[in-house]
Amino acid sequence: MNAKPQSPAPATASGRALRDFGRAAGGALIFSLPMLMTMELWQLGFYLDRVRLLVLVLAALPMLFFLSRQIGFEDTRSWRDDVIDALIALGVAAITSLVLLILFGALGPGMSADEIIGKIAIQMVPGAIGALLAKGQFRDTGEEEAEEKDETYGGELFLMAVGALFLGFNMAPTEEMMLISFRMSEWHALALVGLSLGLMHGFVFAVGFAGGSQISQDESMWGAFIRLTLPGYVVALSMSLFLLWVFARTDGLSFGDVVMATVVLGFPSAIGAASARLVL
Amino acid sequence: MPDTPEERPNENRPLIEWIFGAASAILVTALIAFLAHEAMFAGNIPPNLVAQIVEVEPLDTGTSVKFALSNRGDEAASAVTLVLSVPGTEVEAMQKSIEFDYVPGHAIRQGAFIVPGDVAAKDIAIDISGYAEP
Repeated sequence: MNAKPQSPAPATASGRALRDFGRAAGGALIFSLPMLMTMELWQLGFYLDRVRLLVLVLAALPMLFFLSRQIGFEDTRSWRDDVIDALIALGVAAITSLVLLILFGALGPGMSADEIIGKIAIQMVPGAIGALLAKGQFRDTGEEEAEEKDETYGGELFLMAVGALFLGFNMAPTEEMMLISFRMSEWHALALVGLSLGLMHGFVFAVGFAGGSQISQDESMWGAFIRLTLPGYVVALSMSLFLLWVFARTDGLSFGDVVMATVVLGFPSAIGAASARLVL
Repeated sequence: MPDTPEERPNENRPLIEWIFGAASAILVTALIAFLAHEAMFAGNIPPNLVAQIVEVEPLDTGTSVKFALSNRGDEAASAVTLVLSVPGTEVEAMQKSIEFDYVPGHAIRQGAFIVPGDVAAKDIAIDISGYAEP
């Protein structure tokens, strides 16, 4: 494990709280900046069906909670603290999005409350993931023991889902996802499925980005492929389909076109899932 | 990241991990089978675009002409331009156009023209001027 950067610990509780807030805001900024500067996300903020936006935020709550169990920006122990951490992360992401969107001119006078809330809400999820993960990147050396958590199979798949969601979130709202799927034939899609699985397995098995604790040196390549790579790809495809639905990209499409779009978005999502340990 | 992974031979893995793996293998195989079937047997009919008026509704500032644009072909069309014409009876003759970025195969897109004055459905014609390959 690489040495973590260290900073002098603030002496007072308010100093520590300010430092934690700064870290969370920094994490939110890093994770949401590409989306804050993407035009399609601004537009989705005001025309996206409010039910889907609500589903996105509600689905993010348990995900942020479980992510906080793994890597929080406070050294939490109880479930209550993790709920608070998840809510704080959403709040920090909302504030960061609000400030940046005003600076970029994407929010301004004359806009309805519905448009402003929509534009912020859609940016909150990736920002909140970044806010929660900030502690993992800037953790003090006194907390090293937290690194030694036992990795569970479910926890590994969960991290893959977060990695897929994060990378998929960057791509799903763009027109290019649909354009690529329209230009591709089914033969291209089959090749992309093969490439996604191959790269995923390379990350998971050969490079060992899937956490290290889940794959034994004695485990066969096929064993790891069946236990981790295939479920990881299904998780990545599921997150891709969810994101395409949230961003209204599946509306009016035939079943075949939905499958094609899911396979296309599944490619970056699969990379995100397999490299979750690297990205997160 | 630890350099020495925990020693856990295949046979000691919990059954649930293999069940998840087997279920995922079935889903991925089904996906590959579907794509292979579509690749070998699905048609490649070029875009077949049809525009129909769905509703004509009076507004404070004119009339809303809602329409549905369907692509009955297999292939997607891009830059699809619809032109609304009102020949000119009770209101002044006019033409308006809307462009759709993409209309996928077997998909339906909806939109609306806003025309000034009170216009009846029988006085409106919607034509498709053309499309480009994506």
